[in-house]
Amino acid sequence: MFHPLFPLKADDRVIEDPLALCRIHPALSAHQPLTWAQSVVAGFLAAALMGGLLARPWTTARVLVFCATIFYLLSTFYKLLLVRMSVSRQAEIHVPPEALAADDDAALPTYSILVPLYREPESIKNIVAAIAAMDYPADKKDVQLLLEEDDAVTRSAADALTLPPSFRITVVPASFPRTKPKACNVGLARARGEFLVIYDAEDRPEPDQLRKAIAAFRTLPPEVVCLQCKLNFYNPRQNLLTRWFAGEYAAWFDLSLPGLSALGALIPLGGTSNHFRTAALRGLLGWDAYNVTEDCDLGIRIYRRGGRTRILDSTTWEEACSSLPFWIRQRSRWLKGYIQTWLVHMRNPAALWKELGPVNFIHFQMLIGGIVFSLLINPVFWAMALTWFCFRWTALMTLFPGPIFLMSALCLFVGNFIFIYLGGIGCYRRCYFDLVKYAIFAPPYWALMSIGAWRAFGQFFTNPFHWEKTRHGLFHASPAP
Amino acid sequence: MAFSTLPPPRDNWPWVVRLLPAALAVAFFAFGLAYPDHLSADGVVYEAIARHLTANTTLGRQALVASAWWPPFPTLLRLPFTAMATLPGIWPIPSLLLSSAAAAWVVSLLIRRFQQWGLRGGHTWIAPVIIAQPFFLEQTLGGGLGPLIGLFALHATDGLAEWTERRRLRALVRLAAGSAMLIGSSLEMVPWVAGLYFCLFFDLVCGAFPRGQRAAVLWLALLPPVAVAGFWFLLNWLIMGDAIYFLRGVLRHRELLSRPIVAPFPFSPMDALAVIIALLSATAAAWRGRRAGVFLGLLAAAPVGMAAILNLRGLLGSPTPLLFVAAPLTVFAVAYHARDNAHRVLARTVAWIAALALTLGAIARLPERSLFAPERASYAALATQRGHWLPCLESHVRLLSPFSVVFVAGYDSLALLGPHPPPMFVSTLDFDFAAAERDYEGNRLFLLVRRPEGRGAMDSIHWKFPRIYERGTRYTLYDSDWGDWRLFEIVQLRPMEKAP
Repeated sequence: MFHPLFPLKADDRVIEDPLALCRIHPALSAHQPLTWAQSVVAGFLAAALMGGLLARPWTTARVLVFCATIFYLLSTFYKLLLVRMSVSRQAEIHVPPEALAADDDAALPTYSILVPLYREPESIKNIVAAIAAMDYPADKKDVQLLLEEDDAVTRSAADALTLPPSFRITVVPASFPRTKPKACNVGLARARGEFLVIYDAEDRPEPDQLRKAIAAFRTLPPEVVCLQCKLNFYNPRQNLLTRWFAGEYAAWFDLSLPGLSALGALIPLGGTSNHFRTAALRGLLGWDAYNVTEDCDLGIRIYRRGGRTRILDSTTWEEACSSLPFWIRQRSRWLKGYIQTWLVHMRNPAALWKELGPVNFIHFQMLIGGIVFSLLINPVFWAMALTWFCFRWTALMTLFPGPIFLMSALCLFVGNFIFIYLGGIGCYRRCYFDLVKYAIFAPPYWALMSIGAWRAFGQFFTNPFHWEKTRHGLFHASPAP
Repeated sequence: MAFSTLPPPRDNWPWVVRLLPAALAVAFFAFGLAYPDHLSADGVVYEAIARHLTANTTLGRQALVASAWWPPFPTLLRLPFTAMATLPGIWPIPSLLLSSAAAAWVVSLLIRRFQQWGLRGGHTWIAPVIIAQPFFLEQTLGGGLGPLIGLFALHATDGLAEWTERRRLRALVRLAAGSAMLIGSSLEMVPWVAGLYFCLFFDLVCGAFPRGQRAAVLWLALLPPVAVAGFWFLLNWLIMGDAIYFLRGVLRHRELLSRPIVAPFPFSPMDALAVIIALLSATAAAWRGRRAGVFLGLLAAAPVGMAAILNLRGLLGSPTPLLFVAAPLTVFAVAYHARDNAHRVLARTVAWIAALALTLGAIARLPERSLFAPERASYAALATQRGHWLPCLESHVRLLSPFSVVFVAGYDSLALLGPHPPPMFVSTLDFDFAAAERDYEGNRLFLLVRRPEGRGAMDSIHWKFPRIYERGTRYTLYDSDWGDWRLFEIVQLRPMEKAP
């Protein structure tokens, strides 16, 4: 049963505040990166670690290796479970074409579409065209282009366009924090539709996506407040980075998320193409303006309030970041947001356990904390493996007593192979047949992800709310696959 | 509007079918425990390797990878249960657990497929007929490798059939995973896996696919078995210092084997009948244009033929998993064919004949291929050896010197010595005279070598020191014979002399 965070009345003005979540439920907002209690616990753990390493370095290191090995092992099995579940019938919602054909246009509700834009004059024309081309009655579309007050370039580009009648420009006041979720909250306050979706500037959603979402929402119980569409790229073959990136997206959106959906587990939303019941989204007080992965945070919040998210079998095509420096920045932002999200929801672990239940609590740890943790510790283990293979430094063996050595070896050989193979399966499932072979060479891509993770970790302490803008428009081909 | 948001339709399997695998596994395990004398010696060896691995010993790491005849997966699968192997007595409980679970899984998979193929009710008898196979029972209740190999082979075949028919990704993954497990579990199954991949290639060549899909299918299908083989080479290089160490015995098998392992080949007319039935099923499928049926028939007929060829080359193990997998695969192939309504009556008749023939065949050849009969294959025989002459050997050596050390060479040493060997006995898989003398300076050293037969003939002691059993080496003096084993005393090396 879905319980809104804030029981909004029809004339309630509280949602007009883009920082409403932070003001009404500060405990659920990332405006304070680390609470006092979390700082104490973190300090205690750091002190214990340092003390252990100084007093009994080998024993402490062995304990750390043991914990990490167990985590790796669990992660591998967890990933296998998700992939196994992703082929079940309940993994995603398929809407057959005949179900869409039966729709009566007059009975369709108004659909709000939010498009946050910031310094993206080159993309505005494409997104307007893509949304205009969507198969949905024009008078039932309520499209808001969310432009920042001080973004003169994009505003000029928008002014230069002749926007279709259902489009309007919403100006987001320049204020701190300067994040996408804050802009979305402004749009949410002005949305008129019964349902609402977000698209990024470079998105090209499948034309029937809105109809599919409506058809799905109508058959789903009311606690399903969000549908996540699949994302992938229209430029997967631009260079090696985009090939790897497309493989990763395919594995995430075509295997892992459907697997989570089949398990009835919480789903960390993915940036764009999230379709909501607008009232429910308002009841959740929208997005956290301070969280740089507001989508992931919202996905967790939905579950904490008894809502559910399902995966809709419709794809939105995006532009894969093809420039390594921008890719690293984008990845850093995502992982920083994951850190924020994990810390926000772990402020009161008991409450989280109670609200999510034990199974979803474990999912939360594996998905949100686990991903960041594995990317942070991977380089350490790679370095140890490399040192061993190259120099046979026997001291390393003392870190891996009996069973730990076996489990570590299993993770090194079998675990890594499984992750590589799953990347290939993801590509195949997405019909990226020519990209399957690139999955084999994914380990360098994992190294890049770890670089992003360490950068995110550092940035979390130095600049937690900074939104590193991903530059798009580096690829200029037009038609989506 | 009702599409996939509705819950999936419930399958109407009777609860008995759902519970059957668990019940069978428990029953197999209980029977196996009740008759510990019938337990397979292979299981004892694999468990010994697992124990050494858990203890993080060099011997354990060497044993895991050093011989193609003792592949790593059976050991790795036993690792989680290794703690149980230290229970009183040394019944191979992990082996029994694995073989019981795998056998139950085989039966469950067969029944599930029969259900899916519409062969319900009275036709699920085919699976129990498999259980009734004496060879199946021997391997299952003896904790042998057969059920595990059978399970992997069945999964791979099932994957191939589904892939050929429906082009489903999960079928391809099952095919690849099953093949990888087979490669890592049994050397004798490698030619069969090659046959399986030949079928896949043939299907890819004949089928119509979008651009690039063939290559992608090959990548996904080949990657797991190639990775298993690659890891095996890599680990040999890392642990043994020689990437093909595990293959050296196989590569030199002609000179190492003084006689074939199983001679003559335990081939009965019933085997021929089973092969004929499988080939008939393949022919019928070809007649009707069912490519998957052809593959299944050929793959079911192949094991017996491959076993005969391997036997001629002296490479057939005893007991061989090839003969174990033949029965479930034949039944699977015939049942696949029987699902077709057009020939159901005929196919059912053939299925009955197949089951009957397989049962009669297995009964007919039981005495000649039984696990229980060969002296060296059963745990009971080893336990007898250990109980009878090992203490005598210990006293004999101790009389010569209280500081004696006896190196027991080869994988069989792991079974012979058991989990708690007397301290003077040391198992060795990569024996080196110089290292032995260096590591045991001041001790009187002995080497115990088993008669080179079967897999044991390809242990490293025999290819590193050819004819050591018959003639000894320049560093050994014959001492005495103990059952199948021969004891040599190691001659102390002169300071400047280097042993190989």
